[in-house]
Amino acid sequence: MSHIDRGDVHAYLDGALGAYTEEAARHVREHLDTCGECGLLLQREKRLREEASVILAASAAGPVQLDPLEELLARAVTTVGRTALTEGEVGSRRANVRTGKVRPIISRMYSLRWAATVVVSLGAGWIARDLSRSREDSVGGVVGEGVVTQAARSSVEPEDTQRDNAGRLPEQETAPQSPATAGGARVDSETPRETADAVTVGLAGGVGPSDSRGATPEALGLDSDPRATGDDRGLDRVGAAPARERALEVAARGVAPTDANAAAAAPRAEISSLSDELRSPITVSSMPFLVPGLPVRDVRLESEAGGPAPGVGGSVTVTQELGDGRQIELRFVPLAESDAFVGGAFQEWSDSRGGAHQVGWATTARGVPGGVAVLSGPLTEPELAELLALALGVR
Amino acid sequence: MVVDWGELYRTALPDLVRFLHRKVWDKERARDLAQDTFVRALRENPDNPRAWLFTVASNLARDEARTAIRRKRHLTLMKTETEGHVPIGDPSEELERGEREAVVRRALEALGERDREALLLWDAGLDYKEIAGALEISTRSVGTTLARARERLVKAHRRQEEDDVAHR
Repeated sequence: MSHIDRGDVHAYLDGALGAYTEEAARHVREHLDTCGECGLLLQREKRLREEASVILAASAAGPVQLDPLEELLARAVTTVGRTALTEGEVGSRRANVRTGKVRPIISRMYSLRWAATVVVSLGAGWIARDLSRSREDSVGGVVGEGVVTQAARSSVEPEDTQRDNAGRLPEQETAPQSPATAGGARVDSETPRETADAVTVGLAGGVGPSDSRGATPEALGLDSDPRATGDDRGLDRVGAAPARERALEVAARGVAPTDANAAAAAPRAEISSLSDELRSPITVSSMPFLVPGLPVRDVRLESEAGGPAPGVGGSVTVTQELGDGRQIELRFVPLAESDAFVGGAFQEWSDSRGGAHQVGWATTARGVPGGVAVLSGPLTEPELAELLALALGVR
Repeated sequence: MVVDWGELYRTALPDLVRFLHRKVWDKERARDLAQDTFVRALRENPDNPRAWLFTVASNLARDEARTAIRRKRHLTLMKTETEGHVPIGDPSEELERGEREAVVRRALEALGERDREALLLWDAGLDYKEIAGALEISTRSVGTTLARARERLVKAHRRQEEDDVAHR
C-alpha cells in the first residue's frame, strides 16, 4: 500500500483537499482513516502545524486603525501621475461598496472628496512649479497651506513603485484592461466639471488668478491631462527652460564608466552640524530644493519608523526626470542641531529600481539649513555634484 | 466579475496588514502599504482581487526592502537617541513582545523565500489555489511546501531561542 506524503497530510489538516481532484481527496481521507502509520504521521504533523501557528501568532501586528473604505475609494480617484477611475468605474465600485454593507456613502461627500483629490494633484504640480519658479527668481504664487497639506496626504503613495510592481504581474499581462487603464489617464465628461470646481476651491487660498471660478487646469498653466501634474510642459511654461537646459547638459555630457568599488572605497565624508530649524513633522512644503526645469515625476512623504520623537523625522523625496530616460531622486531629511551627519559621495550597484537604465546608483549629500539634501541617481560623481548644485541654487 | 469591495475591505485588508507586517516589520508602514495596495486594486479592478492584493503587496514590500538597504548604505545618518520614543503600554511587556517578535523575525528570515512566502500567505488566509497561483507552483505542491516551511520555522525558532538564552 502506498502511503500519502506529508504535503497531503498538511492539505488535509489545512482543510485544503477541496483543491485536489475528488478522487485524490478521497484517497487521502480513506488512507488516513485506515493506515496506522500515516495516522501517526498525521498526529506528528498536526503538532508541528500548531507549533508553527503559535510562532507566527507571536509576530502578529496587533490592532491597526485602518482608513475608512470611503477614504480609500476617494484615493482611488486621485489622478496624481497616473490613470484614474472613470465616473462609471467609480459608480460601480461604489455600488459594490454598498453591497458590502459598509456605511452608506453620501454622494455629496464624495463629490467634495473628488474635489479635494483633484486639488491635491494640481496642488502638487503647483508646488513643483512654485519651487522651480523661485529658483529662477520669477514671481511665484504662494501655495495655500490647505492645498499643501492635502497634497502631502496624497503624495504618500509610492506611485511609481506601485506601477512597477503591478506591471510585473501575470494577471495584468493577461487581464483585459479596463477603458481607464487601456486608454491612459482621462476623466469622463462629468468629472472635469468637478475638477474645475475643485480648482476654484483649492486655489482660493492665494494661488493663481483671483477670479478662478470655472478655471481650468490650462488656464492655470497646468496640463489638463491628469498625468501631467508635474511634467515638463508645465514646468517649461514658467520659464525654467535655461535651468532645464543646464540640467540636461549635465546629462548629455554622458555617463563616464565609473568604478563603483573605487568610489565606494573612497567616500569624501564630511561631518556637519546642522541647525534646528525644522524640528517638526515634515510636509511637502518643507522640500527646499528641486533641480529647476526637470519634470517632476513623483513626490513622496516618508515617515521614519523609530524616529527620535513622535511626529518627528521622515523625509520628502521628489523624483525628477533627466529627459534621457534616467530619473533622479532628491531627498530632504530634516535634522536637529544635535544630529551629526556623515555625507559625501557614494556609489554602488543596485537593481532596486528595476529598469536597466538605472542600475548604477550614486548618492551625494550635503548639509543644508534644517537638514540634509540627498541626491541619488544613475549618475557619475561630477553629474551628482552639478545637479545638486543646481538643486540648491548654487550658481 | 462583480467584486464585493466592502467585504474585501473587511476580510482581506487586516490579513494584508498582518502579511506585510511580517515583511517590513513596521506596523504603520504595513498599514500604509496595505492601503496603498487596496487603492491600487480599486483602480485596477483585477479578476481575483484577493490574490492580486497579496501578490502586489509582496512585490511592494520586497522593493521597499531593497530600497531601504540601498538608502541605508548610501547615507549614514547618526541620530542621537536621547529624545522621545516613549513605549506604549507596560515597558516590560513591550520589551518582551519586541524580543518575541525579533526571534520570530530571525526564524522567518532563516527560511527560503518560497517557503516563507507560502507560510505567510497561508497565515494571511489565502487558500491553496491562491497560494499556488502566487508562487507559480502546482496546487498539490502547496501542502509539501507548507510542510517543509513549518518544520523549518519551528526548528529555526528553537535555534533562535537557544541562542538568545546562551547570550543572556
